[in-house]
Amino acid sequence: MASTSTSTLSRKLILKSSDGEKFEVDENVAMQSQTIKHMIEDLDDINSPIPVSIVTGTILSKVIEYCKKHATEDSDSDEQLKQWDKEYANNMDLNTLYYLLLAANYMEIKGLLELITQCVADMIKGKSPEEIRAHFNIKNDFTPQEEANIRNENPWAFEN
Amino acid sequence: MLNWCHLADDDELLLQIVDRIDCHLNLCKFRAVCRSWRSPALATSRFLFSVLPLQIPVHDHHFRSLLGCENRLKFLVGSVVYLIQPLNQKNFDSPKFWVLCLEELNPGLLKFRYPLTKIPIENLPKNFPKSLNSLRFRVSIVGKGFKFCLSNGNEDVFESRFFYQGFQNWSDFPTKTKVLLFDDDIFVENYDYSFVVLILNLGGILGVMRLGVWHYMRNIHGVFFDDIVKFKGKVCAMDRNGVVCVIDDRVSRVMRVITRPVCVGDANGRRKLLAESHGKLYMIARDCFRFRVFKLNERQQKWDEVNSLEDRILIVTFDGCYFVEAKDNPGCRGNCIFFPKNCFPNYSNGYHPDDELFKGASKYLEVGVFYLNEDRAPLVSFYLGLSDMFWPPPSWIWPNSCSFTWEFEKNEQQEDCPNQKEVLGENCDDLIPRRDWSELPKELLKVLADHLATRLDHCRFRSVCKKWHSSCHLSGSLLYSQLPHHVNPSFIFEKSNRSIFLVARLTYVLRPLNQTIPNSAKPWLISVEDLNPGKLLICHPLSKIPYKDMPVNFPKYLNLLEFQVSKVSFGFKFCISNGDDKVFRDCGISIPWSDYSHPTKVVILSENATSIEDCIAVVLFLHLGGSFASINLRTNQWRYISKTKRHCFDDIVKFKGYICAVDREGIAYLIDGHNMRIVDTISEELSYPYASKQRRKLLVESFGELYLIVRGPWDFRVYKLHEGHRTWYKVNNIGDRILFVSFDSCFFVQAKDFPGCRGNCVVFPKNCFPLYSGGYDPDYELFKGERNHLTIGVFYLDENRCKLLSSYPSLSELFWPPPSWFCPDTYSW
Repeated sequence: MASTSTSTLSRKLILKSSDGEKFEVDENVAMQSQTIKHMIEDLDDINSPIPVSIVTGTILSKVIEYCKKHATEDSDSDEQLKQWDKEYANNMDLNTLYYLLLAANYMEIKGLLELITQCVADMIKGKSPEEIRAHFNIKNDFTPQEEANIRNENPWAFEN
Repeated sequence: MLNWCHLADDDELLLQIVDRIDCHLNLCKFRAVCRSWRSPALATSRFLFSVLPLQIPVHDHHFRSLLGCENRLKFLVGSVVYLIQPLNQKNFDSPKFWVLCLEELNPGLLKFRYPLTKIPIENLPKNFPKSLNSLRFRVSIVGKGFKFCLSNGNEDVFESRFFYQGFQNWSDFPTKTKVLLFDDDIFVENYDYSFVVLILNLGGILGVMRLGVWHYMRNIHGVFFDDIVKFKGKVCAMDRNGVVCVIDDRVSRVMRVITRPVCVGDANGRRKLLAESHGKLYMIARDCFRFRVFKLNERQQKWDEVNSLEDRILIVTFDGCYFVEAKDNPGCRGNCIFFPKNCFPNYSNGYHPDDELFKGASKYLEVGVFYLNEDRAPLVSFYLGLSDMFWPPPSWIWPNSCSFTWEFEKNEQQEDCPNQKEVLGENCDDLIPRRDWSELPKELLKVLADHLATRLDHCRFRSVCKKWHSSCHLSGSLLYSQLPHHVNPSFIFEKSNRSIFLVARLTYVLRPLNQTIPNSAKPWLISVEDLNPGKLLICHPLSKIPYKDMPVNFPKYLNLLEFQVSKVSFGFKFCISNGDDKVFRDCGISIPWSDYSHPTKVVILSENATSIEDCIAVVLFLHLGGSFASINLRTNQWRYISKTKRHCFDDIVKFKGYICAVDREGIAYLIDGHNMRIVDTISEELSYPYASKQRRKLLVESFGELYLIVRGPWDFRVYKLHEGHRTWYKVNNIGDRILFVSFDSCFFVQAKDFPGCRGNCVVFPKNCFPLYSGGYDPDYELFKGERNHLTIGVFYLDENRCKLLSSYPSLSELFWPPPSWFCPDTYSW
């Protein structure tokens, strides 16, 4: 086919968020998501919108922002990319991080999942359980007895 | 006899028992026993199953692609077919039983369905009670069924667009899915369930969902299944040829085929069903208007036809087939099959006998009855009294008391979708409530926990809530989840037959959580090593000499959560099982440092990697005068630095993801730890000739800045790297910071965090700055007569000579003895 060469260069996919918002992205941007990659393999007609269920437009646009940055080849140095990642993650509020985490997991974007989990893990590090609960809006569902047991399960035992 | 009421003194115990009560009905009975068993803690909001309806996690793309683009949540919903009889049959004119099906889609609200057809009952009599007191009847469970549906009850969960053959005819099948749980008891623990799903509207595709991940049956591609059933504790599936196989939940494949294909004439072209009763497996096949029942002959692996069901009634429903005894229902004869319309569809399109049979039947009574000794199946209404089993509700069901326990859903279909707010990321603005992070799926929580490196963080993670607790496991090691790490033997080690370990050594500042303890504000600075997993060795934070003479009241265990624990520095070492770190060959050369007390310094690159094997350990060999090498902990490959000339390095630190090494001249290099090539030279030599000829210099990194600690004849100088100028500039004042020098890493702390201590000083252990010549060292004089722990010197940058630590009591107290708040009983000490 005559158009093959051009179409491989600029093949576009349309991603549709759960709330119906549509995003046109380059194939290499979308293919960073293993889930979408699998979906494309299953689909005959790539011109129809690819549903990205459970991910809303707001979140999907952020995911695409990440994928675009990591798809460009004229790329920045590794260090600049890391810096960009860092700022990207730091600019997210907690709820967005929550959804991004689910979205990255669902869409199977390894780098993004790694970035967000590391970012969240860094928030957890060094915090007391009470602080973690407050930070992540988690209710303490332990009974006092259970909690006492859990608190005692991690002693430092000293060598003599 | 014991009085079991007293169990209630301990709610925990009762709760544990209640956890094992599978249905709400039994729980009601339980709670009705006595006042103390009626503890409000024991009430549950769900009636039929304690955890159903259950939202199905769909993070798995295989599963997702099946579900298509619907953005709504999917639920596993349970229904129960009950047989209800009056408690005292004599009191009623027409004692009989009532078979009904209750489904719980919205927790706490039950929906009536016709037990066979599963059609929702919408035309309940006007005076039908809003709720029923189940304790007024004898209630027995006939069968349980599970299915997938959306939050509004719609069963079109699986989309058909990925399947191209065989399903079209069944796409409007009344029940779209049949679900079986591998382990019925599993509902006690909320999250670890696995189930098998028969997707009927796709023709009978079988899949297994295990712990949230979807699997197709691996070795039965292209086979369509008619029914699934639990048989002898295993899930069995029957394909269109009547071949029954046992499904293994762990590997999602057919374990064992237990029958040969069967020939049942006309019934071959139609769906066949399975029923299990008292350890026997039955197959129900349908000719045009007749039914044939086969019983599994396990030994010969074949189906034997059964001529009579004796006094039993076989009830066929869309989600299971059950036997009931006819004698329980006066006026009923056994040896018959009750079946709903369309339960035995043809595999191909075309004439179906049901169209003829059920012509003109009321929608609610599209049930046929077939007596095995007769030829033809008429409608249930043909037999007087039989249809009463299902409809209308018997007169004795009307209540004469007003205590109700079953509540029924209103008939008006509520079109709202209460779970829509769960949709990802909707309205991600400040107005919406903060997400509860305990709702994250367990698999993601596990990933998160993997990113925490220390046991302390794991422990805190586990203390947050139950779900987080169960998502993270504590390793045996106290400090670093993956250390000690056993290193493979290599020629580089002195003796190849000894086990060599990579061990972490962390330096902590401990403070009491409760600052109101009198005279207790003094923090304690210690280093701990966990060479033997589970046991920590405490050593001096600077000299790294293990503390030996612990006070008698020194605690055996320390609950970290009772203290404020902050890590200030960490280092690593290679050592043998007794902790001795002289493990590397000395190559037989005698140089001044060959008996150096800490012969190596180890730096780990990418130590935040989830697996220690993804890390690179870089080792500086001081006993060899200062060469260094790296080991890839996965491949165990050692790599020496590629040298252009013979270099002697004084120190290495991690800097911007690289190794920064400084040589004797003070030239600093950036080295890629993976291939051990010099990436860049980041400083020129030091403009302090004394230093480059005399003594070891140390590096310290702090907040992205690199410092060089240089010891003169009597004083210390601190230099800071100006990266642009590639030059070390002398720092005359390090501000309100204390610079601690140690063998495995140096670190700054803020003096204001240590009450009574003034900053702008260097605190250093003996022998950390050896002379290149090995000759006379002023340390001998400085530390003359001091005991082990006290061979520490202090140099204030605004003074002109080094003093002993003992000259500065407030600094000295940071090290030894352990502060009084640390030892529980200060008197005995």
